[in-house]
Amino acid sequence: MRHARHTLGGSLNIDEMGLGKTTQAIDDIYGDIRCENDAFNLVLTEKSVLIPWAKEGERSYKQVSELVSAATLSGVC
Amino acid sequence: MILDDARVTFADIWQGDFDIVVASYTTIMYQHKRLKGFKRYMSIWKQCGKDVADRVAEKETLPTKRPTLSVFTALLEILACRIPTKVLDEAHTVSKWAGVKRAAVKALLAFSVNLLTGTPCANHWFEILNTADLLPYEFPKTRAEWFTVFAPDQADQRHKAPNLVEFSNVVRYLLPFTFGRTIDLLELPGIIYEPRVEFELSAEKSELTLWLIDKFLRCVRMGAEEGEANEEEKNTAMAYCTKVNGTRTLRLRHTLTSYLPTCRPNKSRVFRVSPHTHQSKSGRSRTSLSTSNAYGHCLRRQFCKNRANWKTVQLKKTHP
Repeated sequence: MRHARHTLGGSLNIDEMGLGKTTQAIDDIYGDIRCENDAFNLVLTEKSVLIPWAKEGERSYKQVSELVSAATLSGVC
Repeated sequence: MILDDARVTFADIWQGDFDIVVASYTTIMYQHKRLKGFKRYMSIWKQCGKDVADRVAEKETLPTKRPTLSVFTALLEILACRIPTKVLDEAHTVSKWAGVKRAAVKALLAFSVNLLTGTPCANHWFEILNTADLLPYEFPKTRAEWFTVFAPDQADQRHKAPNLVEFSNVVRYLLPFTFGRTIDLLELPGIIYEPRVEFELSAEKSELTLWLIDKFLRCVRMGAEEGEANEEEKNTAMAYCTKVNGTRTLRLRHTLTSYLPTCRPNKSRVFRVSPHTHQSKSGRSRTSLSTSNAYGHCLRRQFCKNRANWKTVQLKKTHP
């Protein structure tokens, strides 16, 4: 997927409802945040799912932070 | 950050050092509309003068000053940065070719685009092409070019279903952009198969098993109606149902469906099936079965250790 996004400039995630499209997208965004000079990543959704998207993002951010801190403590990073 | 206030500027977001900004399509459409209006006002001003531009602006309610925009800003170019990823959730909602929402979304420059959709083709097969056009490096720029490349025989019959070659071309084009589910990397819920009750029986034991199933269902009926049943009978029948193996496969669903009306004629019965709990060495899955009433619940607790994998199956009540 990373290859598709960086080489071809985009990716198309087609899946059934409830199988993790949003989770995959958030995981992908957090996996790519490297440079501090980058602008913000933009997520466009319907107005009714703004709050669920934000909550899902915060939840995933905590998980990613825990993973990064655990990897740092263990000397991987 | 949730971008739901039109007064938030790009500088506010930039100073806040946010990683992800979540915005609605409505907000983006509104800002893009304001920006286009201001550009139209400036164009009239350059060609016809300020007085004419002011009159047109008053008539068409165009903004006479540059509106406050959050994401449509030249600062992205001045600061030599670009939005890394643009995620379009429910991307099929922006698949209308000449839509305002689509124009607003395409005006946002980003390094990469991630399109999420569960219904790529709502009414017609070529709607997938409308969605794929949101990818940045597409080569056809118009809808006619799409049909010239992928379905030349249907340029005048677009509502006709594609033939195999045409559909194969579409799939081959989309294949590099489409990615499968990384189920090994992410803890995603498993694929839900169609629940089907199957038992593997040897040929010589099939008659005996049918007799035991009959006894089992009779026990269930007794347990539901009278509150008690013979422990030995129900244990024998249930244990046999969960442990049978062999070479001949018996589709038990139809058999059970024919038995069901005799068990409880006025109510449909819910069976719980766990296709993932038992895996034989040959790779075939064996399933266990119990009912949803109080008696079945006891059996289920007895025979099922992993309740998380159990699914509810509603069997249709059809009379034999």
